[in-house]
Amino acid sequence: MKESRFDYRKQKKLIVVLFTIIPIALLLVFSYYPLLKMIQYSLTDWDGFSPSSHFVGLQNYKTVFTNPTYFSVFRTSLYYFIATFFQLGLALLFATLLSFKVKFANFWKGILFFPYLLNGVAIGFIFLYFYKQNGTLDTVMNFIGLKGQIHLWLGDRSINNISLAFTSIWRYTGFNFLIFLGAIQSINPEVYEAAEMDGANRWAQFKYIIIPGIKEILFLNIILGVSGSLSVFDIPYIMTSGSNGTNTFVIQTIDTAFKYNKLGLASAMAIVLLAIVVVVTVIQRLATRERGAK
Amino acid sequence: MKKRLVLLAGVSAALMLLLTACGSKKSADKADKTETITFINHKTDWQSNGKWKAYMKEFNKKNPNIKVKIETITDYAGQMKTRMNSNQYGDVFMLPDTVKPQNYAHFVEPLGKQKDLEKKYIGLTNKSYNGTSYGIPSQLNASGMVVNMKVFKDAGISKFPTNTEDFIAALKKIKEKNPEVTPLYTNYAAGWTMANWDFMRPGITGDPQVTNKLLTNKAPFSKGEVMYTIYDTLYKVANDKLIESDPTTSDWEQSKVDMANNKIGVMVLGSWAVPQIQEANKDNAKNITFQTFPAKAKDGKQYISVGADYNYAINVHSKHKKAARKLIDWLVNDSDYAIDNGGLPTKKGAEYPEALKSMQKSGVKLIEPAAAPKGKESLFAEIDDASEIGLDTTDKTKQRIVDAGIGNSKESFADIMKDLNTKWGDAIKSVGNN
Repeated sequence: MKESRFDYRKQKKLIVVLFTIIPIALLLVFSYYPLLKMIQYSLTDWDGFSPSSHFVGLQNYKTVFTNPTYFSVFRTSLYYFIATFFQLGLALLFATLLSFKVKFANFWKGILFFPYLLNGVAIGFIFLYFYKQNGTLDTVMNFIGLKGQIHLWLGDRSINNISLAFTSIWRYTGFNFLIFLGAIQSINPEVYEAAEMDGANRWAQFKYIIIPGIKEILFLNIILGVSGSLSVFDIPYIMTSGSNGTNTFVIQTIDTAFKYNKLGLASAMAIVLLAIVVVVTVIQRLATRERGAK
Repeated sequence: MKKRLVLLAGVSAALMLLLTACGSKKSADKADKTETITFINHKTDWQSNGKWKAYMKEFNKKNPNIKVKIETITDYAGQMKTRMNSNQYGDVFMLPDTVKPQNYAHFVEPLGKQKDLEKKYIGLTNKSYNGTSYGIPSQLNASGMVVNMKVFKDAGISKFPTNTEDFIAALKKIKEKNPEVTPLYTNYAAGWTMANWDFMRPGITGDPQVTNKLLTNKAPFSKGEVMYTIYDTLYKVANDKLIESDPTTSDWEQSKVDMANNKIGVMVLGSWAVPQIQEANKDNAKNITFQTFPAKAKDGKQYISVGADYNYAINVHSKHKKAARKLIDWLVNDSDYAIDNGGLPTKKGAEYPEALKSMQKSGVKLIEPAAAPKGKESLFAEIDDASEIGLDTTDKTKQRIVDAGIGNSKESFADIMKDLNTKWGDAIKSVGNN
């Protein structure tokens, strides 16, 4: 006697299809279709709402690559790129500390991860008031007697990108920390025990057990950091809207599309950024693979 | 097995639900006599303080059969641009300035011949194309300076200066007398406020054609030109540290309160800002005045330019065009919208707001910029976009001048003007080639 009309394998297939159809549909509709459309727009001079537009071929790409104003803003990304290493260092430090026995470990984990849960807009405003003239930071510095060291944290062009990059560190350290912690905890605890028996101290454990154990994850985080620093957007957009030398490539793209009504050109800029990020990722993938092979 | 089937049914049911939810809903109450129209606009403050509700109550006294749904959007111009790619942008809405004149007919219903409407209204040139008007201004604004006269009087200046040298000297005096006061607040960070500096063009020159002349002038930022005068003034006040000390973190809402409380001397804005600042401190309202840019035209007279604010328009896809028109007519002819917002009413012969009345008495003439030459209605916008200078539209160039003025960047004023001239000249060439 048959229990049902479907046999088990067919049912399994059906369930798999039904469950994947929603994410795949979402992916197609909200990622791949817009991407195709963007490539199409990047070949036109469409302004974003006119009923008609002209095909201009690769003219937009030519403009992006020949006009220095579009590429010079990548200089700002350097600040965030350097900040990435501080961020990873901090995250690794805390992840290592908390992987050993610590009091209130979950409490500290929560505190470290909390900034990542906050909305980017909220963070932008928190730090805007933090850095403002006579804001929180100035008040604190006055209180501890560092009055002479007070700057216009966002107004002074020599340091405003550092202020913004610091906000970025504050926000994303928790995320890197969590990934590192997960990787460290996946190392077999017996290895530590064996090491302790052999007389290895904490530093030796870190150097010879943890670092080799999480090498892959470390590189993954660096890749994320690099592509993140190329496409910085929300923190400088909310806090300074890209004024006073804090402009980034993505803000430039948004301005081109919606302030100067050159949606075609802006689409081309977005595609160029996508291509750069893909290239960076591929290069780093290849580099890590070679290391792994050796 | 049964359990699995139930699960399957559940999943597919959920899917169906999801799909149907995506479909469009159709309202079936056509038999009902009352029509519901949607009015989309940018007056978010009126939505929250109940002013729109009161207005619509008044409107319904005359037109009980039209129910108006008010929808307000904070980032109005930005969001509307996206929405206008569909046909769901309300029945009545404020026509965004980015729509090019040749596309008006594609998006909005014509409201009548410009010649006929001009008998009754002013400020129509802006949104008319080939003799047909597609929008009626909600109000007209004068562009000039909002001035706290108490701050000036405290520094011993009883009359607002009429040339830029005296103006800068006056601001310096204010700073000397009371270092706590910001003589001129730029509102650098707000992102739209500094465009008001550009709007001073017609008022300074007294020439209604000033913007049309920019269409062929390949070096409009050279010394002696009006844009040079405006930007030079901005550069000098920044360079002499007569502006807020940290422009990057300036705050628009706070600036209104500060000015009302005598902490700011001047802000370059439109007449619409006067009631908003007066409201922030009603006891001090009489000290908040509206003045022209401190300059005289070649004929020795002072002018102030008035231009249309957002225009009311009817969606070309609307199913309730007659009702929509009734709402527009009521707003323009019968409501106090313009006066309540500190602007000039669109209707001819209507009373001017207080701030402008006193100015008229002192001999300042109002001028309205002339329409663009036929066939070149969108040329200014095209050149402006191509140059990425953002004249009248964005704050980037003005911010750059302030940055240079306070010493944040190493550019000299002459370098910036040279660069702007190159950009503008190139843009004229590139747009002409298309």
